[in-house]
Amino acid sequence: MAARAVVRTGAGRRAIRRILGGQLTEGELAALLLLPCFLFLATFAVYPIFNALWTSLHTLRLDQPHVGFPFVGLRNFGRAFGDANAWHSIGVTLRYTVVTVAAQFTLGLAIALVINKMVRGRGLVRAAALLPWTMAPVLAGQMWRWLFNDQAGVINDLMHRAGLTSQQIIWLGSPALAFFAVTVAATWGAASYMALILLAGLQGIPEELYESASLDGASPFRAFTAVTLPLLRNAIMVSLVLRTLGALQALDLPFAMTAGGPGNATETFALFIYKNTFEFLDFGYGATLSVMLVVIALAFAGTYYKVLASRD
Amino acid sequence: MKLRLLAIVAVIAVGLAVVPASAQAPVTITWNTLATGGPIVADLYRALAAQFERQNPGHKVNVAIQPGTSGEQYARYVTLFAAKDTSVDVISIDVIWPATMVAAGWLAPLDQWFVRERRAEYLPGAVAANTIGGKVYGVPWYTDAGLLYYRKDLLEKHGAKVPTTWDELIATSQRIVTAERDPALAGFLFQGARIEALACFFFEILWGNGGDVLDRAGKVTLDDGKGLAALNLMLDFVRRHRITPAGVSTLPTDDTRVAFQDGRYVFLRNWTYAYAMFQSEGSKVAGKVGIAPLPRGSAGSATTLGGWQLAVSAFSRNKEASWRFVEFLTGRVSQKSMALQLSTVPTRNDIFEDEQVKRQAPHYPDMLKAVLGARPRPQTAEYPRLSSIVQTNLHAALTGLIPPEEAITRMSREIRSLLGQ
Repeated sequence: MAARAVVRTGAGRRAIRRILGGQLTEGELAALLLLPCFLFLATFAVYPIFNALWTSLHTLRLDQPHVGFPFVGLRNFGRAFGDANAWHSIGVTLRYTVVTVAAQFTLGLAIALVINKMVRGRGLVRAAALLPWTMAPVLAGQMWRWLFNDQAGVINDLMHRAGLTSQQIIWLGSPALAFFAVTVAATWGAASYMALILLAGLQGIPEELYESASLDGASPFRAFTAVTLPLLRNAIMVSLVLRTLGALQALDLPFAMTAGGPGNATETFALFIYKNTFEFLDFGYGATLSVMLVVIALAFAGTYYKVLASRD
Repeated sequence: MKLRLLAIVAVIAVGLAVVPASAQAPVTITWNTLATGGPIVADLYRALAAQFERQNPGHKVNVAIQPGTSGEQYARYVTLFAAKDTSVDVISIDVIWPATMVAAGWLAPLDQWFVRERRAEYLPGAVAANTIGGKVYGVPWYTDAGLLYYRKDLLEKHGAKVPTTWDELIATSQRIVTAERDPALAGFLFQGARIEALACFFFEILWGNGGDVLDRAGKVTLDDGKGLAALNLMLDFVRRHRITPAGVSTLPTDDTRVAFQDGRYVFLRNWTYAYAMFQSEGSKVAGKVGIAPLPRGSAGSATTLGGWQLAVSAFSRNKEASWRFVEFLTGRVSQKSMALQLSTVPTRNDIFEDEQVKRQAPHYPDMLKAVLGARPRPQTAEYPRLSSIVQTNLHAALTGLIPPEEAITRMSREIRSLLGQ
């Protein structure tokens, strides 16, 4: 009814004529072109987030359909705040995020610097370095699980042959070592992705800046801290934000390697959410935990933006 | 022109004639199942499905074998049924799932076909596990329990008796391993990964001590001292007596079967399915494996009731045809083939009396002795979460993350809060 009313008015008719006749103002054209993208995001990003928010205020248990969908206010959040296992998994996720993002950044920057200095074969090396990133994390997790296997794993075998160890190390059966093993796999997987973004940033730095730095007598280290790092700031921010958000949502790699074990030593927050939602079928509580994860992720992204965004 | 019209009419006529025929197109039934034990098991399942197709013209069975542990299988079913997926008709389910799956509305009731007289042909305990709120939702397919497997050859060589207490098992393990001087040989293996079988082994020791997770009234009694004693025994196998390697904490069910089959252990706790694998061609322990009930605690020997059922999905579009396939798989012919070839324990009374089974499977009396007294796991609709709490804390203690006292305290506290006590 409303739409028809608009069409019947003179303004509505004129607008339609202009759209059909291609006589749009720049702003209208922009809005029209953005519409598909906006609809896509609304359907696949905004709606799920609000749906999760709505579900988080209800009880929804698939294994007890007779309970229905009653509104419980903030009770699920109260339960999460009192849940020691939830806090434990948040702690695991934060440690995992700090360790893996720092390691991925360091290694990624090193790879980027090396590739940037290469004269020949740069394209080939760049493509090859990206291979780990192209492997599905669950597949990579299975692969690393075998590499770290205590009985038949390659890593134990190599260490034994090198005379480093006399006994088999039970990598995935001890809390600290399992955490270490998962972070190694995560670093291996994403360092190259980090390198690619940083390399793009490095290639945008004009060679003249380095020449003038060396004319001024700056050491290579000084040139790195005074020229490279400041000009790389945007690339660093993008890579850190992307990898941090990825690490906060880490599910697939720990799921495939340790399933959160031993005990719950490597149970990330995303794994904990998965377990509550799909193993225990407690969708209301799962939604609550997901909302908390969104808040944590936003806090991280906001902090990065504040600290690293260009101030000029 | 006329000719063309005639041709069109002819085509339409033929088309109409074909329609009723296509309505009787073969009914395809999709069966999702694990095949723990590998190709021997999967091959038999496919052969049975082919036999069903031959006996029931117009029926096709799509056997979808799934990898992994029963916990992973459960997660797959949840994903499938939460989305009301209609692509699966018949599913095999673990004995601990019916309560939760029925509450969620995922299983079709079978009462109209699986009537009282038919139910009487099956072991009563197994039928009871599939009966929820007065309706029956699954047909017992094979039953199961935790057993003690031992190396007959090694025990005979060293003049050792089959252990009947845990102390005897520890002493015998140490004696044989020391005397054999084989660095690849160790004493005892159980399922130490964070999976359902880890919780089951803990329950078995606990029940053997006269303890339990919940008492008759459903109150948590895990922290009355017997829970701690049971956990300490599990840890002692590894730390004090060193008959179990510390790497046990990474081994799920079939990995322990493979390790024992490779000749690396004197004793193993595992389910009944392992026996057929041990006796199969190419096995290093063929003809050398004995079966006994699990060793006693202060209150006797105890084992977990396991076993698998066949059920029909509530979302299936071919429920009647699905039932016929379930009926066939749980029937006399299929259960007999499975008993003879896979050493699974049948759920039909008549198979135990079958002359050929008695002749070809002389280990059945031993297996039956162990299986018939099996106990069900704590009976609550919250079992999946309860089991997860037990598994996580046991595993944390087994891997040294927390001391055993704390593991039991946490387990009890978390189960109490789960059950609202």
